[in-house]
Amino acid sequence: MINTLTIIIIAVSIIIIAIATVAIYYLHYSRVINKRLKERSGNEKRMLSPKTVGIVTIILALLIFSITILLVRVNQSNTIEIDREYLTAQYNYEVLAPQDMQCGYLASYSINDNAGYEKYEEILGNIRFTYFVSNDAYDVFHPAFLIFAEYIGPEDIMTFGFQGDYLTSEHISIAGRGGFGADTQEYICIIGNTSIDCIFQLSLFYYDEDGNIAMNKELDTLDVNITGNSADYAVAAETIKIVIMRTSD
Amino acid sequence: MKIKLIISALRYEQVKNELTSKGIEIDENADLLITEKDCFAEYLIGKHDGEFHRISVNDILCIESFAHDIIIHSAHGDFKLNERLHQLESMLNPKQFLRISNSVIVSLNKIHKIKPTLSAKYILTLSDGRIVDVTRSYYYIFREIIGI
Repeated sequence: MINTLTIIIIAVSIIIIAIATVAIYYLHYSRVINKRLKERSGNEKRMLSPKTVGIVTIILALLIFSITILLVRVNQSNTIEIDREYLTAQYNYEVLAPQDMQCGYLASYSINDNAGYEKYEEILGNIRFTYFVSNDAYDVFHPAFLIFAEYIGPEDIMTFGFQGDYLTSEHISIAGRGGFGADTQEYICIIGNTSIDCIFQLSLFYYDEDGNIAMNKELDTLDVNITGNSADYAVAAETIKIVIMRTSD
Repeated sequence: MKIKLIISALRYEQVKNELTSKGIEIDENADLLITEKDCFAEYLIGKHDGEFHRISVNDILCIESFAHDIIIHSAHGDFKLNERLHQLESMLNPKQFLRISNSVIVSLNKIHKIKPTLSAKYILTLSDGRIVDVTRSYYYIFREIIGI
């Protein structure tokens, strides 16, 4: 937000410019009137007095100052402010298929239980979310959360799409990405990590064959949002939010 | 009755004789004036150290009033006058002299420098270094005359 120092800097700058303008005009006026005194032709055009110029300059300075402050405030009201700590934090997540979860260290994580993580389960519409959230401090080797998502509805699902976003505590998006068109799986697992207290918001979209065709047509027109997903064509579309506490005890 | 004449040399003797024949005395120090249109005084009579002096208007820097005293500041010194300032204003050529405040008439030819101010006022430096002010009441007429 605009602070007192900024206002003082703007005001002082305008005052300096105004004083300089009046001073320069004063010197010019003084030079011209003494020249005219010597010539005394009486045909010269009357000049504005320094007093008039001073008054006009003060009015203009006040106008410029008011307009500047107004513009800055309007500009600020249109700007979302994010704390600096959010901008320097680490954010990442991956969307994995069941076969990916069999590889390397990922094999140590399961949909049933994970040591050091709080387990939660939520069914929204026809999607079951089973997620695990770490309460430990941030480290690069252990994810902050794991979300297992399964479609449990009656439709034949062909593809799915996703959109994952990290949000500030004021629910302002800091980082995120999405995808569309992946073949459906028994379940998918989203593993993410971050170095700061924040919220992870996950939206999942499941498409049947018709929905998949409609989505592809929609994508051809490029008239879709950046996630490349649309709840209008999905047979199931749900969103969950996970609160991540990484820096507090 | 005493009368002072400010008329051109061509008519001076004629008018003087006319008035004298009617018992009117012509006196340079008289309070009553007879003036001719577009005829202005070429000299003034001022008093210095108890003596009267004839002061050419070309030597006058400014005429100042201090209470009831009228002082001519000239190249040859200061002289005291009997006339009132408004009388002098009408006697002197307006192309050469200008009233710049309630108490000062200045010779335009003797203004050395004009210093403007941010208020409606000018500060004039005369050729002898004397400083006089153009006050608010005379500001616009001064601008008009000088053409600034």
